[in-house]
Amino acid sequence: MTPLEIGLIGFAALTLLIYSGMHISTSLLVVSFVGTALIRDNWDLAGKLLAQTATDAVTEYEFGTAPLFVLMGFMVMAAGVGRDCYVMAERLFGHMAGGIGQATVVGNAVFSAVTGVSIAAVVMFTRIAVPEMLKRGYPPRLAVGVVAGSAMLGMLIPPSVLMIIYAVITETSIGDIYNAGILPGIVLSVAFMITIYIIAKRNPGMVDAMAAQTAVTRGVQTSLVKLMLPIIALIFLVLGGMYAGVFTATEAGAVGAAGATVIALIRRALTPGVFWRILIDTGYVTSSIVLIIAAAAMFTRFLAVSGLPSYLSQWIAAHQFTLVTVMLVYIAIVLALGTALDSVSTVLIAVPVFAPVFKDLGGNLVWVGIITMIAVEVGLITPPLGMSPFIVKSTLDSDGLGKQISLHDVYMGSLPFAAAALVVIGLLVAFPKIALLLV
Amino acid sequence: MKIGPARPDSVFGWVTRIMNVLGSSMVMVIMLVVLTDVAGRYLFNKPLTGTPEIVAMSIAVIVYLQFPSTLRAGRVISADGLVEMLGHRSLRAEQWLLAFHHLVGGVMFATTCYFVWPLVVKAWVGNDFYGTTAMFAFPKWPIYGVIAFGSGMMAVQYLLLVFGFVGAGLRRERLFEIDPANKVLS
Repeated sequence: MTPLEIGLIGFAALTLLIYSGMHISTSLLVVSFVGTALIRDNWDLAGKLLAQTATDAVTEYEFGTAPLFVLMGFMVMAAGVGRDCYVMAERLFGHMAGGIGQATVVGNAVFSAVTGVSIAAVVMFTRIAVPEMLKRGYPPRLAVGVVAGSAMLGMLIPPSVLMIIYAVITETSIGDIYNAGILPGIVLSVAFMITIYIIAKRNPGMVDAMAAQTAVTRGVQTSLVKLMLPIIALIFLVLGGMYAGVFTATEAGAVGAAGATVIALIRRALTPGVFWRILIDTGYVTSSIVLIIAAAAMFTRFLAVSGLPSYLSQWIAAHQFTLVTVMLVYIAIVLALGTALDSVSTVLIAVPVFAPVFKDLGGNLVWVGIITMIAVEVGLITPPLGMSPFIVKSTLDSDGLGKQISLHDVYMGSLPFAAAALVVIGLLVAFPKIALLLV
Repeated sequence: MKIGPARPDSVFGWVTRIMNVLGSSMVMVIMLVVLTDVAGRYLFNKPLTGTPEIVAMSIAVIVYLQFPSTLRAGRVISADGLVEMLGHRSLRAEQWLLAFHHLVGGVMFATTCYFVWPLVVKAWVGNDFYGTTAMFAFPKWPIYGVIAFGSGMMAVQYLLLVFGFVGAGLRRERLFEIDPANKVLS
C-alpha cells in the first residue's frame, strides 16, 4: 500500500470508529498509531510518536484555557448568572414581537459570552422559556425551536471550548479566533431575532407585553443595573482584556474564572459541596478535551506523513478551483458530517484534511474557523442526531411537558434557525471582513 | 448512578479517587498561578517566573490523574448516536460494542504506558528540566512519571470496564446510564 492509500483508509477508519461510538481520543490514537506504523513500516517509531503525543503534546500553556473557561462557565452557572442573563434580556427586549423568544436569543448570546460550555444553557433556557411561551400561545414548534436554535450561539461567541480545539489543530491563535467570533456572533443573534420577528408577525395569537412578564423575571426584584453589573464586568474583563491585548487567552480564562468565583461567593451560592462538584466536573471535561486535542495533533501528523492533504492541495490546484468553490464544498462536507456526529468529532475529522488545503489556497484560517463553527452548529440542530433538540426534548420529558411536543417538533422548530445560520454563513463567505475586522 | 466493576471501596477505586482529588485541585492551582502572574505583572511590575511551565505541567497532571475517574463516570467524549440506536434493537449488542471500544482503549493506553516509561528513565538519567535553568527549572521525570502511571491506570480502568460491559451484555442490562447533558461539551 502507498502512504496515500493508508492515509485515505485511516481517514475512513477514523470516521467509522468515531461514528460507531468509540471514544474520540481512542479513535484518533489507534488510527494514527497503526497508520504511522504501516507507512513507516516501524512499530517502534509509531510508539515513540505515541509517547511524544502523550507527554509533550499534552504539556502546553495554551491548554490552560480549557480548564479555566470551563471552570468559569460552571461558576457562572452556579452563581445564577444564567438566569440573570435571561431576565436582563427580557427586560430589554421582551416588549418586541415574540418577546420571550427574543429574550431567549439575547439571553443565550450574553450567557455565551461568559461561558465556554453551553449545553447547560439549553437545559436552563428550556425550563425558563418554553413553558411560558406555550402558555402565551406561541406555536409549540417555535417555542422549542428558539431554545434549540439559539444554543448555536454558544460555540460561536467566545469563550468557546470548540474554538480552542480548532485553534490548536490549525495552529492559529486562540485569541485571534475568539476576537473573530464576536461580530459574527452578534450578526447570528440578530438573524435569529429577525427570524422570530417574522414568525411572530405571522402568528397574531402570540401574546407579548411587558405587563405580562414571565414568572422568572417577576421573581427578580433587582434593578436592571445591579443585574447587569456582574455580567458586564465579566465580559469587559475577559473579552475586553483579550481584545485589548492586556491578557493572553489563558490569562483571560484565569481572570474570568476568578471573577465568576467571586460572584458566586458574594451570592453565597458556593457551598463546599458545590465548589468541589464544580472542580471535579471541570477536571472531567479538561482531561477528556485535552486528550482529544493531543490525539488530534498526532492524527494531523499522521495525515501529513501520508501526504493526503498535500495530494488534495495539488489536485485542487490542478483543477484551478477557487477558494470560494473549495469553501462551499467544505461547508457541505461539514454540514453532512454534522448531521451524524457531534461537534467535536466533526471538527476533528474535517479540519485536519482541509486546513492545509485552505492554507495553500491563501485562505485565512481564522475566517475558516468561524465558518466552521457556524456550519458545525447547524449540524448540531439537524436530524437525525442533533444534540441540542435532543436535550430540549429530554428536559421537557423530565419536566412532564414531553407528551405535548415530539422530538420531530423540536427539529422542525429549529429549521428556521438553521436557515438563518446558513444565510449568515453565506454572508461570511461573501464578506470575510465580518470575521476579520476585530482580529 | 451505577458505577463500573471497580467498586469505589476497592483499592483501585480508592487510588483513582485520590487521583481525582489531586487532579481537580490542580485546576485551582492553575487559576491561582496565572492570577498571581497577572497581578504581579500589572500591579507590582513583577511577573511570576515560570508561569507558562507551571500551567503546562499542571495540565498534564490533570489529564492523567483525572482520566480514570472520567472514564468510570462515563464522561469521556464520544459520539454515541449509533450506540444508542443499536441499544434500541439489542441491549446485548450495545454493551458488547462498548466492550470492544473499551478494549481498544485499554490496549492503546497500555501501549502508551509501555512507550512512555523509557522517557521517564531518560528524563531521570539525563536530568531533564522544564524551562530554562537560569530563570525557572522543574525536573521532567516526575511529570513523565505521572503520565506513565496515569496511562497505566487508564489501561487498567478500561480493561475493568471491558469485563463490566461483557457481563452486563450477558445479563442484558446497561452497565451505566448516561445523562445526555453530561456527554456533550458545547
